[in-house]
Amino acid sequence: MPEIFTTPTPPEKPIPYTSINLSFAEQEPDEQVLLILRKHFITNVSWIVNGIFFFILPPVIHIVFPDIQPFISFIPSRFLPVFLAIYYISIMLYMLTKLATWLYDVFIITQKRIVDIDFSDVIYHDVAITKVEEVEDVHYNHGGFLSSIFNFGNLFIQTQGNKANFEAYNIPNPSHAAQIIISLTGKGGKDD
Amino acid sequence: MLDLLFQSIFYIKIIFGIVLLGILVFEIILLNRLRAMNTILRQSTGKLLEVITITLFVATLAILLTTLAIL
Repeated sequence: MPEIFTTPTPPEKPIPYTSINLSFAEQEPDEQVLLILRKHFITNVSWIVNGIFFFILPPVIHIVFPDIQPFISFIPSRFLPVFLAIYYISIMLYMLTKLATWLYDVFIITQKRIVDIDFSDVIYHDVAITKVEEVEDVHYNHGGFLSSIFNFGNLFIQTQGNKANFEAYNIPNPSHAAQIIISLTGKGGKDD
Repeated sequence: MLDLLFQSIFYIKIIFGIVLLGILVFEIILLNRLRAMNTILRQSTGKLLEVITITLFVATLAILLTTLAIL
């Protein structure tokens, strides 16, 4: 057949991703992490501001109100360093827990599977894995003032049968993530 | 009430000791959970968080011992 009658196959659209220095348990040798999704960094601002505020609160009170009788006056003076140490360790633990929650609450997309690791609390974690072929539907939404400014939103992945659905909240650029999953599955997605 | 309670060095040690023991238990739980998560998810920041938690644990233990023994 002359070459003029053959339908040219369109070149495969490359998936826009960069190499990621991360691996997870049960990752196969030829399995490459395409995308790792965490909550947008802006969602951490509240606990960072809280931590900094409580961190600088004792010296600020001491400087601004030098004559004020603090509420800890009932503690003997030689126990004050211990009290302050407990106070600062508590703040650091609070911030460390929040940081760990943000770092380990991830959504990983490889060319074969989708892995959802939930670390919502120090005493609770949940790992859910599904194959890319089992993805039925992908959709995402934006909602709120901050999410419109910083372009973050929620991504929902519906899987076959009675398997759990996958949800990633407040992830940056959810349309990009949805596009990657759709290009992997070859199925359509929708924007709410 | 608090004034009366904190007049006794013994009671201060008991109260601070209980609080510090609670913090130590929390740190142990956090460290175990971080180690478990680091086996599931291997990332460069995982070890750093473990080191910070161990440092806080050692600091808390030192404060506890200081409170109970020296003060």
